[in-house]
Amino acid sequence: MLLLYRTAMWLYPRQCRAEFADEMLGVVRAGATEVGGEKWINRVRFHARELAGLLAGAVDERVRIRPNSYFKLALVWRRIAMRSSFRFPKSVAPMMMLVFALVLFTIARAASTAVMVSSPHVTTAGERLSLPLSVGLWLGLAYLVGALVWLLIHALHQSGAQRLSDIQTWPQK
Amino acid sequence: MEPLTETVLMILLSLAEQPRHGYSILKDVEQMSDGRVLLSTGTLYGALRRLLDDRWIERFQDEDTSRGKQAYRLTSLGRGNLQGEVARMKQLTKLASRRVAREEA
Repeated sequence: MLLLYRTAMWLYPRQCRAEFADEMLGVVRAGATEVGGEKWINRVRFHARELAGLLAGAVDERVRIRPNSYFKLALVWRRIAMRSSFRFPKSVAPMMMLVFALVLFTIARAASTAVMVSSPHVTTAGERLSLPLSVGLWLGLAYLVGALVWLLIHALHQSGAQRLSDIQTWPQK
Repeated sequence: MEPLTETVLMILLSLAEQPRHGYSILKDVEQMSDGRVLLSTGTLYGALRRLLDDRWIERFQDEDTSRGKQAYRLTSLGRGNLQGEVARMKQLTKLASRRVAREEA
């Protein structure tokens, strides 16, 4: 795992890496040693939090060193924001998954049709499955992708990384 | 001054007591918040870097300082701003208590 963390440190800008990498790895190592004897779920939580935190920190540092970067304006943790008060309604997620599943299904049907035209005797997997089963399969796949994305966002949220964008530490002039 | 985020406030409170190194800050924040605030290393060092840039904290050389173990402490600017934030929160709490008590009466 430490090799993974060491690799993740390379995502940070060079100056930041030179300044903090040893310290950060020392802290991760101490934490890993402490959770080493705990339940596997606690170990998984720890490593997920640390990895998500390191990745989010690397993105934040990359954005910080590029003044006037477009991403500085566009990147707001915990939500995709076109303006700061904008939030997608919750219904967007299932709708997007449904659209995604239909697109995948259409592509698969088009591919099987193309095969059928060029080689009529070849039977594809798409043909063997009934329509409802195919839709169900693709919906399941889309749900899995959605769940993975949600898991990633949840891990980032648990790490507290989204609060970095709110940090205002300068004194009032 | 903008209100501080909980993460930054917790880090500053941890350093207000004594100089600490990274892992000690993580554990102290976890303890102070009864396990509610769990900082990751990436989050902690992002905040520490900003606080160093703004001169709210500084590096501190102690006997325990070795490779990979750097201590930090509050500067006078950081302590002053922390006191200001605590005063603001006290005032807010007092106001809220007064309003809630009036509502209950």
